[in-house]
Parts: sequence; C-alpha cells; structure tokens
Amino acid sequence: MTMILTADEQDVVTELMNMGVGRAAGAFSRLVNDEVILSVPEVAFVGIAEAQRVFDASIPDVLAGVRQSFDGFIAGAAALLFPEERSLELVRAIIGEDMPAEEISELEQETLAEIGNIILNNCLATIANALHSEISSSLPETYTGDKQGFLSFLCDPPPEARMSAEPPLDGSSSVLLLVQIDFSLRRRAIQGFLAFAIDLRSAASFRAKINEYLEALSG
Amino acid sequence: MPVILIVDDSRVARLSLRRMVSAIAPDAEFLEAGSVDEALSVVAGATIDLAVIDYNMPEKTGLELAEDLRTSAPSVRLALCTANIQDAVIERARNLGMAFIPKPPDTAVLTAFITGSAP
Repeated sequence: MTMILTADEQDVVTELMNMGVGRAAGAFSRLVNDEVILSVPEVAFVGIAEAQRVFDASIPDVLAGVRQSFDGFIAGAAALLFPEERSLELVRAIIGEDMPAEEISELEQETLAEIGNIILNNCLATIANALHSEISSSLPETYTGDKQGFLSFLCDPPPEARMSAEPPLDGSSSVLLLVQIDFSLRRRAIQGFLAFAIDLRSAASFRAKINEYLEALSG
Repeated sequence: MPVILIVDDSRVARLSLRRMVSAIAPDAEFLEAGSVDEALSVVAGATIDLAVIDYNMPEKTGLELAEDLRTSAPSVRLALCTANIQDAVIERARNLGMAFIPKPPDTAVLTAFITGSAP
C-alpha cells in the first residue's frame, strides 16, 4: 500500500496542517508568552530512507523531542523536535525565570512532555475537527538523543501496543508525513520542527476523510 | 477562600496552573492530584469548591473523574482543562456540566471559571 495523493488531496493535507499548526502556534505563544513566527509548512510523504535524508540535511544533530501516538480515522505518531541545547531555555520560558537552576533541570523532561502534549494535541484535534472525525492520543513520551535514533523512536509502536500481536510500524508499514515547519520565538532564538509518521494501515480511511472534505468544499 | 483541586498527571501543568490561579485568586487554597484515583481520595477527605481536571491521564480520563464527582461531590464546580480541543471532547465535558478551558489556559477564560462569572 502506498500513500500517493492527487494534487487536490495533497492540497487538503497541507491546508489541514496549516490549520493545525496555526492553532498549535497560538497555544504555544500563550504558553511561552512570546510571539511565535511560523514558516509555511512543507508537507511531503516520504519513506523511511528518504525521511532520514531529510532529517540529516535539515534538523539539528542532537535533539530533544516529544512523541505522541494517535489512533482513529488516522493512526500513527506525531513528534515535536527542538535542538537539544535550547531545551532548558524553553523550560525556563514556561515555568518561570525565577526558578532555581537545579529545579529547572529536574523539570526539563516533564516540561518538554507538556509542551509536546499541548502543541501536538492542539494540532491533531484541529485536524480531527476539520474532518468531523475523532482521534485519540497516547500520553507524551520524551526523547533526548541524536537524529539517527529519533526516526526509530518516532516509528516505534506506543507502549500500550508493544505487548500486542500487531506488527510494529516499521519501514514497510509506515509512511512519514513530514511536515517541516520552522517555528521561532520572537524574543528567544528557539526553533522547532514537527514530524508525523502515518501508519499505512489507516491510509484508506484518512484518504476517504480527505475526499469527504473536498466534496464538501465543492458541493 | 476557594479550595481548588488541580488534577493533572503532569507536575509542570499543575505548577503552571497554580501560578495562574494564584494571580487571579491570591487567597485560593490548592489541593493536587496526579491521577483520577488520587483525586477521588483527596475529594473523600476534604471539602473543595472547584476542580480543574486534565483529560488525558494514565488509567482513567478526566471525564471519568467528572462522572464520578457529579454524584459523589455534586456541589463542586468542574472544568476540563486540556489541549485536546476536539469538538467531541468539548461536548462530552459540557454534557457533564463542566466548563471547558483550552490548554494552555487563557487568563480571561480561567478567571471566568474561578470567579463563577460568565466567560
């Protein structure tokens, strides 16, 4: 099974991502009390090997990231990535400049998880609403490491599914919907990236929803 | 002096909500729980006025907690505070008589809930 979309379908996906990311940026902006500047999302469906090439070329070597898997009319995982060296600054922006350094570092993982939870859920929920559908998401999981390891972390099954008989999401059953979006904060030099891995077993129902959306637009 | 229960599995989320509520209601007293079961035992041993509850938590969701509180502590005013802003989730919260506070909370929305005024 592949995920080759028509030009119109690809347009819908880009538009949905624009809505989702826009809403998430609003939430992020409230969270850090700073203006979030967004680039136009670049949406591409790629295989694992191609995704690794894109990652190698465009994301920082060492990452702090958060992942949530989701299920419903579309299944897969979404991740939010930051350059690792900026993550403490991000934590400080959220829980306050007045916190002692040791507490900030103690809360780093939890803060990243909460940022991921807020951004990813705002984005996923907005897309589900636009498609009049429902999606459920797992609890956030954090990642700190290099970008080579990140791709397998993104495509790993969620903890609750790791015990089940379902074959894992691997190179053969998932396609990455890479949504490259650079967001930066006006007052702080922090950039982030978003990536979605979509389980191809849900491609047909995702596509059906995209087409319903297209029909509603033209009808 | 309102007693406010904050239920969220994220310590950071509880911390930032506390900061926001303290700015709105400096005399507020806080109780915290990191899960639905913990929240139920807190409620059993204390009198609370308001509860701000996260949706997505391990084991049970915030809506399951709200269902329980509707019967076990009907005088407590409840709000669901989540980044899961799906229409379906908002509707379920409303059906349980909960206020809905998109996460991160907007000060005006949070103030409306804390003070009991219309948003």
